Amino acid sequence: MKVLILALTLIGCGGGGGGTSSGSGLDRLPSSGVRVIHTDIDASPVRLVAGGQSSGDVRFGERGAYLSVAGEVLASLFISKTENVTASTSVTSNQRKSIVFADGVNVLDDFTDLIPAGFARVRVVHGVKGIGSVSVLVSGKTGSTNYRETTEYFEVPAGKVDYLVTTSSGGRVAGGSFEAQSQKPYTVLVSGDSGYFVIKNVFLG
Amino acid sequence: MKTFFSLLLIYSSLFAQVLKDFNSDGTVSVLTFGDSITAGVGDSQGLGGYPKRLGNYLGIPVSNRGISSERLITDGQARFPSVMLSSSADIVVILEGANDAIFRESSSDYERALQRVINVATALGKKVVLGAPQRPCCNKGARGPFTDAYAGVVRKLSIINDAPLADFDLAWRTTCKNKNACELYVLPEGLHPNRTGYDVMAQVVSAALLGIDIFAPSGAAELEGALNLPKGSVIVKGES
Repeated sequence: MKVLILALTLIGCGGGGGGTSSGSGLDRLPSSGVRVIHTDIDASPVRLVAGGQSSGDVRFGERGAYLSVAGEVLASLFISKTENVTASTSVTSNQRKSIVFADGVNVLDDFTDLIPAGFARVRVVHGVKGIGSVSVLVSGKTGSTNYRETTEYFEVPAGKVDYLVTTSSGGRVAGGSFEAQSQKPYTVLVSGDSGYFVIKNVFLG
Repeated sequence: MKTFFSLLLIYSSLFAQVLKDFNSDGTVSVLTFGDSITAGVGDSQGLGGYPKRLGNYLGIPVSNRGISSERLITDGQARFPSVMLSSSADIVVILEGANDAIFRESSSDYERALQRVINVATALGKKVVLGAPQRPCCNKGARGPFTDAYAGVVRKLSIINDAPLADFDLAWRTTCKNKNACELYVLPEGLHPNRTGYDVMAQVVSAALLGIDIFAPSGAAELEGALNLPKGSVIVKGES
């Protein structure tokens, strides 16, 4: 198993508290915090530990709950049930962050601005191995993104949102639809390995 | 103290009952995935290897998707997604490695492939049970060091993934009377279980699915009670 060195320095503000969360709070959006998104089809479950809190086990294709942090804290990404630290980056914002775990890590800024009533924001995170970049269509809005990265958050009307992810040559990678609530931000995660297995997941934040 | 409770939690999760209708289709069903040892090669005609016995023990549908000569890191992992996508099974039992050992595949490659198929099954909402391959003997004894390494990988991934463990390797070690030429194998071949060997395998998987530690002093009796079997029916021996 690929094990990289990681020590995450997280500089945040707001929030606080300790204890362990595992699966709870997935539908809540705190004012600040950090979470992990697991897109690596070859990797074990991971857990993010920051400021005395733990995400609990986060498996391939899933995301952990946000961990609220106060001030500057050390955060680490572990292979679940071991003391093996994996991946590396630093987070220096006081906003919400998502750490994409896929052959290493990439830290994404999550959407925190106000969204007008009647609209939602939707982005697509690309975690499919073997495809350098993908083209994205979200309710009529187009964009593209590279592996382990994300599109912008597209502003779309709340309600049914259609999305389609294709290779640059037009081959279908994933697609579907979901109901978006007004004034909420969403992430569409596509993860897996091209030509082998791809799964999609839609969640808040 | 914290470590103690962590270990207790891990231990408890490994022996939790997993026979559940995870996909809520009204039926609890199992799929067994693997090579010729899952297919039932070496068994008496019509007995169907460990999967058919498993179905008989538990009274649930068990689909046997074993294919002879399959290796996990090549054809096994390649066919796995299509098998999962076409199956409504709640639980998948995975046992591979006997043929990877022929090619002396590294344990790191085996681990990567096994984690990959675990991820596919889990992402589709299926509960995974991992089988630790037993050590071949006799004519196939040269594969032993490799299956030993793979069994170690299976135990590790069982813990990391909260996947119940069907430890066939340990069952062979505790139950074989002749440690050099185990009577649970077709001999002198030493790779495929015989009729009694498949009984042992089915009992090990049944215990894993029912959350019974079959290697505990009371494990055999517990399993007999759970399956309503006569005393002495479970032949798997505990750890001494």
